[in-house]
Amino acid sequence: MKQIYAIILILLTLGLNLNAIEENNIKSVMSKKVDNILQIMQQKGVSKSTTAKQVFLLLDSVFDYKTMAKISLGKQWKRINKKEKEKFTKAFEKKLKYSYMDKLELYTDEKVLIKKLIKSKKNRIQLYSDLLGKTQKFEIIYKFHRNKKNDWLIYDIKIIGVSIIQTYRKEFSSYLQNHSIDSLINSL
Amino acid sequence: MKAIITAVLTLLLFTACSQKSTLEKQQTVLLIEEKQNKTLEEESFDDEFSEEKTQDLDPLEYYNRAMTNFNDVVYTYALIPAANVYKKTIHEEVQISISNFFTNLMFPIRFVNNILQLKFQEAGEETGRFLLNTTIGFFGFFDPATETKDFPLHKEDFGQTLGYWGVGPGFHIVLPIFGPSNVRDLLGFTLDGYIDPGFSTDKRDLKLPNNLEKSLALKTLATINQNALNNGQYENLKKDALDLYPFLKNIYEQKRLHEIKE
Repeated sequence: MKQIYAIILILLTLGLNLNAIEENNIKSVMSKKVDNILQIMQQKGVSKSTTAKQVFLLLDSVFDYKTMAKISLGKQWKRINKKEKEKFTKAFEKKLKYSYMDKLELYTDEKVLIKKLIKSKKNRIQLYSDLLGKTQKFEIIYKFHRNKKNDWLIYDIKIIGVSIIQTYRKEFSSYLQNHSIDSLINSL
Repeated sequence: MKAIITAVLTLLLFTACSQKSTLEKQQTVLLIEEKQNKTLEEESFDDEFSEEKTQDLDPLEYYNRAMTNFNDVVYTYALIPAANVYKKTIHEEVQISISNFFTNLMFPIRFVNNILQLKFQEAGEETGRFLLNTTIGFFGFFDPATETKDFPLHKEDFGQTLGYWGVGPGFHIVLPIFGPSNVRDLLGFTLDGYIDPGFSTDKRDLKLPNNLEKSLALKTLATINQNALNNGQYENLKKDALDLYPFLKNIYEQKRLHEIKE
């Protein structure tokens, strides 16, 4: 009997540590996360870096930075060595976070509406949401893929039709036509 | 007896062996499947995301780059500072009302282009929106239509109509002040000008302004007002670019493709 309790306990703690999302609760988990982020944003008298830290604490478990880095580098990914891959992934994550933090500064009192979930493939899900501004509405799509551990993670975000990762991918491939990977890592 | 035991043992051994081999087989099958899955996944990422092609048609690249830099200077040293002053002097509620007014004024462009794309329900909703906002919304300064949620905005222009009927974007053209465009959208933009109630150079037109100066004044107000509301967006976006011209071009083309598909 004791053993069973132990197993249940282990399973429970495992479940708690498992922050990644399962298919059937993507919508609810993301709604919660978005609500929490908005609450963090509305705090007053908190420094930018504290806000960012709190926000990334919520996002790190659902953002697949590694896959994002890999896709954004396109064909070049296979041509660089392991060390360069690691360096690039790190630099890319930093750049992404920096850019995201910058965008957060534009936030005033917009509301976010989580709309629908579409499973386009066995291992792809898109979550549609609207950012409601003062006079405009921006559609934001979070794109999830299922990794080998069966967790659903975000690999791209589309804002009014503009894919963030696609934009980086084009930028990087044209940059790498006449620059080295090292200079790309440095410029990030 | 011995024979029976040996027989049983061999049988056991045999089944064990065969079990082992099926297990191995299953494992190899699983491994292969996993490999296939992995390559499938990578392939589908590659299908999903395109790369910069060296043969991308951009005959105006030299001009486009120069115009991007020119626009950048205009935005940084004229438009954005003007919008910042405007933002400080004009109350935000008023800015929103002005923005609403201009959105409502552009109804004919949206209506015509919804019809041209056979989006009749959307054209109907646009009409309802226009009637409601022009009357109860006091000439469009207020936007009760968005609050009711029955009459959503359906932004369509001639560039999108041309795209809807299969016209490709053509090469990229950066316009002065207006920024990124392409052959298709420039043609659309010109056509939109004919039905735009906020733009006219002819006295005989039944439009809000009736000469070029008034038209330009009205467009400047609309632009500065919108920039005041979108305070900081351009500078913010610019920071993400390694090279501004291809960056803005890429974003523009992605956005237009999305608007046409919608």
